[in-house]
Amino acid sequence: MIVKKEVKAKDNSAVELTVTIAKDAAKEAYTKLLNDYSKKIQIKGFRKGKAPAHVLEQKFGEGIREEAAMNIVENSLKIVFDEIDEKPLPYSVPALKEGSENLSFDEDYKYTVEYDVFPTLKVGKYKEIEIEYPDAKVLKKDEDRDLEKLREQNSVVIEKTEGKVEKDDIVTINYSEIDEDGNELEGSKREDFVFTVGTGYNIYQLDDDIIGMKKDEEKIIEKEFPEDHDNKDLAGKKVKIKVLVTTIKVNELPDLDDELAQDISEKYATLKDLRADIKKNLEESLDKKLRDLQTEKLLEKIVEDSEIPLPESMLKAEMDNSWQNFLLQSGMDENQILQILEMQGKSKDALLDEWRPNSEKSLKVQLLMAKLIEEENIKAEEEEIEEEIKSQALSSGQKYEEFKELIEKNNYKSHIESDVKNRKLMDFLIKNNVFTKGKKVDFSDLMNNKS
Amino acid sequence: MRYDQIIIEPVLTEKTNSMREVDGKVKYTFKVNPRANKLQIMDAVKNLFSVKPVECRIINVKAKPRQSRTKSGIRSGSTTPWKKAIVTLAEGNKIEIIEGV
Repeated sequence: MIVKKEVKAKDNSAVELTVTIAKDAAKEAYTKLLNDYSKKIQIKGFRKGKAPAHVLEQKFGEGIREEAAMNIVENSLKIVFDEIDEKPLPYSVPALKEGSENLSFDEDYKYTVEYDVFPTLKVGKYKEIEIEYPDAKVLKKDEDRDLEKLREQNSVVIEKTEGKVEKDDIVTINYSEIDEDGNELEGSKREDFVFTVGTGYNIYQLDDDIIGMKKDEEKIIEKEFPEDHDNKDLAGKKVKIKVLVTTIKVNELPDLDDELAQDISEKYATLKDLRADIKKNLEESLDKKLRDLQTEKLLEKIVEDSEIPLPESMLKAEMDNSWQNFLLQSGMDENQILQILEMQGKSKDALLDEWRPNSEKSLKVQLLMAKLIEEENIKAEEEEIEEEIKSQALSSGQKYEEFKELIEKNNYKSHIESDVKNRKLMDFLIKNNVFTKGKKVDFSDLMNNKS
Repeated sequence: MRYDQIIIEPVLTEKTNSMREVDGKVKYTFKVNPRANKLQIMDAVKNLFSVKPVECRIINVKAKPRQSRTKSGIRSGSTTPWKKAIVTLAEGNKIEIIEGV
């Protein structure tokens, strides 16, 4: 039934396909459809299914012709796609460009569709590339910082009955604004207001004024606020505030000794063990970070070097995906999110446009990795998959058997397989490329992406 | 009466469809103005469709009683009576715009 087919490549790995259908085949499809309809349809004045085909043709000819044309296009595309190499992507719907309605039986029926095909990549150099990565080491001060954090987490709050308010103490105060005659102003009174001295988390910024006060001491503080004060009600005003300190508490840090180590976890006997463990953890995370950095830079370089045309439909599917993820993460309804975006003066399209460069980048990396896996013939062995399942079960805290069952039930095995393949590819890339240490970078700066 | 006031619409049913070609006679059925007579109808068909009518037979379709139940009891009425005309054309004549509709 197909007389001729022509494939023309276009930009962004799109393809234009022109198919010509023999006129007899077109006619046959049309009459078949007509007869089918005349058996089913009910027309006024005729019994159901008794209306002759020519009556039907006169009445609904136009619509049936169109439908027949669509059927022909659909069926013939199926056949054509089986025959040619340029198959469309699953999320790319072939768009009909020409010849949708003019189904005439005098000449051959011809139509043109446009769709996206899987892009052909031109991979650039991916071996022996020199990549510079920051030189970082876990120093003693990094350990100390972590230790200090642990100390703070294990601190105890103790009430101070004697002594004066000092910085970093937690105080509870009653306060109110008073006018010239010493009367309390309505609405300004607060009782049992708790804050940490030095943080400034109170309206009048009393921190400095409170320091030195004793428990149960009452004091009238006079404050003048500058014109450009953050709180507009207070800016440029002079106020008197009556303050009563009711309690003073102090945050007592535990001593750095073996006892602290034992408090934190039973597995540490001495402070030395704790220190060693902290160091080990830090070094592990540093290694991981460095590896991530290396692979990221390497992939970026390879992508830069390669020619990767991105089909529009692929990009759209990817952005749709990230939109769905965004919805999932926010835990809100799509309509709610759209409303919020509108309030911020944005629209979904604008947001997607913002994401576009990122989506493009990640898609390119994905395509590249798939291509490289194919090129280097990387395969995942059964045992390796098994091992991966074990390690993933361990990290997610599930039992191996349960986890395996879950995987088999949901057909996640192919995911795991691709995980293994990706990891092997990374190993391969790291082995076959040169990494040199660059300039020295502080550990914490690196971890916080400051460099 | 104008011609288009005489011929109201063609009657298109399974039966009239099959009557188009019986014994070499070409018959068309119309719903016509109840006040028109056979000669007027033939004249109208001749001028409206540019064909040559030979014969015209008329049937007065009688009104049928109809009842409908409403809130306030049964409402009785009837369908509208109308005049049906079967026009035979001379051999070889055909009305294209009705054909097959």
